[in-house]
This record gives sequence, structure tokens and C-alpha cells, in this order.
Amino acid sequence: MTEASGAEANLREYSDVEYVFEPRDHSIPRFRDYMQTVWDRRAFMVASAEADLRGGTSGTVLGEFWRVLDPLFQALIYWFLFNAIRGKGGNSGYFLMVVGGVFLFNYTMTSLNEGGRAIQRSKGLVLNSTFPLATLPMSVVYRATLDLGPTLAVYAVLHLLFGGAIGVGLTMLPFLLVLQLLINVGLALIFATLTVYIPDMGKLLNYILRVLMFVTPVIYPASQLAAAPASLRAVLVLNPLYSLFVSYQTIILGGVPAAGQVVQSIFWAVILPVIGYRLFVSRERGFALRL
Amino acid sequence: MAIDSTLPAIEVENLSTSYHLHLNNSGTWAGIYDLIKRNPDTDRIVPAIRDVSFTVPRGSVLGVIGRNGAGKSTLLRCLAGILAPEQGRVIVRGRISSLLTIGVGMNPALTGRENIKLGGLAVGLSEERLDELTESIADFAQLGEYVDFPVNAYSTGMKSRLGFAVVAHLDPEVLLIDEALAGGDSRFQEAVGEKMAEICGNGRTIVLVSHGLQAIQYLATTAIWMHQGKIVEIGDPDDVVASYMRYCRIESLGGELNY
Repeated sequence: MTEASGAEANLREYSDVEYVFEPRDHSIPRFRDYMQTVWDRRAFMVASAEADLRGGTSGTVLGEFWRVLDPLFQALIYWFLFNAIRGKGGNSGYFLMVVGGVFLFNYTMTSLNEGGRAIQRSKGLVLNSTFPLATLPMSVVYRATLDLGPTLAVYAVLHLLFGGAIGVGLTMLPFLLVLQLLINVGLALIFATLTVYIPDMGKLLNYILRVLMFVTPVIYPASQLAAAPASLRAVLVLNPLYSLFVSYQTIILGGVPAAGQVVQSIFWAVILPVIGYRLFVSRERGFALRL
Repeated sequence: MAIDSTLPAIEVENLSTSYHLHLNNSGTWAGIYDLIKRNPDTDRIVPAIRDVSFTVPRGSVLGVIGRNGAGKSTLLRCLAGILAPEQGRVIVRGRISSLLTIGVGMNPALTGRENIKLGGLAVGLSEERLDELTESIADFAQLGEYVDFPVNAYSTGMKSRLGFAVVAHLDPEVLLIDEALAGGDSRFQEAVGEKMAEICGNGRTIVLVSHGLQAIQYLATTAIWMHQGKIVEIGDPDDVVASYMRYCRIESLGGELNY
């Protein structure tokens, strides 16, 4: 090998990094400490989300344009559907409500669906490097947030084009979107953990998402639920997206969301990330054993 | 080497660990059970490492040999902190860089350059530092213009060259390598040998798992032979390799190892 003298001359100071790996308990690291390690890897999350975005459209001729074309085509399909079902002069407010609802629901759907699979998808990285694994589902939510930009821009154009109502409620939209972001992070962390422990979750996710879409006022107005039996409504309120999407619909129709609905949304936006964080970080060190 | 006065780079004390497998339909219930009850005993548990202890002094190269399924790769994952021990303790002093499977978490849809970036960022390198390193990594891996091609267009050799080049350039203090030499041609193996010697010369520590016994004899300062999750022999690489080869010959004649 190398001569001892050379080794001595080249011997640089070791960093004082020391790792002690001991049997895992389910202790939860201090929130601030863990988030610091996540924050230190923010460049990784951004790069991984950007790579995902490029990967999604790589090999296509139109590339980045698909980020605008995707929502546009989706809206177009609903427009055709509405004209076919309702004939000419269909209610444009209703059309906007559905398109807006679907676009916003997609945001949570992507976070939950891909966030739930985030650990499996990055199996190679998880099995080969030590880093805070919460960066994986969080990077998926970040990517979904990047996708939301062009989608909302398409919606804004449609809203103006179809003469949608513009009310003071709109000023609350950014706040509600932040609540949705927090709910998405919570759901992504919860389902990322569940998917590692319950292999069937990958399949179940499809159904969970479908049910979630139907128990959330996305393609029907929330007012329709007023006629539903009280027992059913009580169950629907347990849906974390319910009050949020009721608020979105109110805004799209030019109204101001009710305080009660907003408070419920805030509740979910706090409780889901807390549950997600505790579940994920207490289990994280066992993930590699189960991949 | 010259640094025996300091603490060892790696200390492994009575390490045991096992894999939990979901089998048949028990998987779902075991998974739910484990989530609710915090201590699972319904999973199928496969012991991978049983009560292993050793230390690795700074600046040395530890070679690990043994048959498939002996627990070599699991041991490396424990050293890297990826698998938590079930019993015992692992202490690693220094920044760890690991190359545990060929293609290290590479995303095949992305280019070599993008993979270098993602891999580097995941282990905590800054973007500026990575920008500096990318060219020398690509040079070392002999990728040429292929660095801007997606990795799924790479040959196995190119992937393993890129994998080694990345971890070797992350300025590791403790370098963990599993079969990194596989797939590279002889010219690259030479470059790998030189790079490893350079890393050791800087007082860095390497743990190398390989089926290439010659590589172990050439590179390692100490060798471990593992069998069924236990250490059979630890010591001078030539001696350990000789015992291992003797065992392989006996076994091919139908003999059994009594451990």
C-alpha cells in the first residue's frame, strides 16, 4: 500500500462526526432537530422534484408545455361533458366549480398517491444512503405544488373567459392553499409509512383516492349534501378535505367561506402533519428492513 | 498504520440484526399488528447477522468475504446506519460514504450528470461543491460525452464506474463498498485500486465487500470471513482467504462447515 511516512504526511484531521447506531426504539427526535436535517437537504428535495418534473415529460415533443396542456385538456373534457349533458347555455358557474375542484383535488391526489409510494420508488437511495427519509414524500408534495402553478394559471384564464364571479373571498385563496399544502404533507407522510408496513396499501390507495373524491365536494356542489341525512353528513365532516373544498366552492361562486369551515380546515392542517410526522419519524429507521 | 493512538474508525459490538419478511397473506395482518402493537412477532424473521464484534482502526482497509447470503451486505448496511441493529451497537467515527449496490439509487431516466447531483445532494454536499466535483467524477468514471446521456443507456460497467466515482469523490472518511469492482474493466480496476490507496493514504478507512479474493488480498489490511451471519475468521487477508478457499474446496466435495 502507501508508505507509512506518506500516510502520516497526508493524514488530514478527521471530522468529529461520530455515529452511534443502536437498536431502534420508537422514540421521536425533537421536531426542531429533525426539521433542521430536512432543511439541510432542501437542495436535494428541489433537485429531486425538478428531476421528476423533467422525467414526466422527457421524451415528449411538447415537453414543458404539457404542464399547461394537461389541465387544459382536462378542462376541455369537462366542458364537452357539460355541453353534451346540459345542452347549450349550461351553467358556467357550475362548470368552473367542477374544473376548479378537480384541479385542486389533483393537488392532494398527486401528493397522496405518489407521496404514498415515495419510499418504494426511491428504494435504491434509501438502501444506499443515510439521510432524513421524510425528504422523499415532502419532495413529492413540493413537486405537486410546482405543478399547481400552471394549473391555477389555466384556471384563472378559464374563470375570466367564462365570466366567473370575482369576490372578496378570493383573497382567502392563498391561505386555503397553504392549509391544503399542510394537509398534503401530513397525508403523504402517513401514507408513505403505511405503504412500507402494509404492502397492500399500494393497491388500496387507488380506492382510497376514489372514495375520497366522492366524499369531497369536487364534482358536485356542497349544497347537494344539505339534503343528505344528518348521519351521513356527520361522517362526511370527518373527511379532512370536506370543509376545505366547501370553502373553495364558495370562493369560486363569488362568496366568502364560512368561519366554521375555515376553522375545520385549520384543524386538519394542524393535526394531519403532526400525526404524519410522529408516525413517519418513529418508524423511519425500520423502513430499510422492509424494502 | 500511523494512527493507532486514536480511537478506531469503526467499532462493532455484539451486533445482531434480522430481516422482517411479509410472507403470504400474513403480511397484511402482521403489518397492521406491527403498526398497532409496537413490537412485532408475527412477521417471518430471517436472522442476517448474529452477535458480530470487531473494530477497524483508522486508515486501514477491511475486506469482507464469504458466500452469498453470509450477511456481508447486511453488515455494510448496518455500518452505514441504513439498517438499525436489533442488538448490540455500531460506532462509526467520520463521515460515511457508501456504495452498496451497483447503480446506487440511480434514477435510470436521468442523465449521469443529474444522478451525480441527486446522489451528492442526498448525502449533504452543497451544490457549489458538486458543480466543482462533477467534471472530475465524470472523468474518473471515463464517461466522456455519456455523462449527459440517461443512465438506462449505460452498460453495467459504466454504471459501476459512475457509482464508485461518485462515492470516492465525496471526500469520505469512512468508505463502505459492496462489490464495486464488479463490472469494471481491468483499466478501471487499476484506477479503483489507486483511488483506494489514495483514500487510505489520507488516513481514511475503507470496508470492502468482494467476491474478488485477489482484490481483497491486494487491497485489504485485515480480512473477515463471514458465514451464516457470524465471523468465522478475522486476520491477515492472505490467511483468511486461504482458509476460505480451503472451505470452498471442501464444500464442493460435499463437506460441511461446523459453525
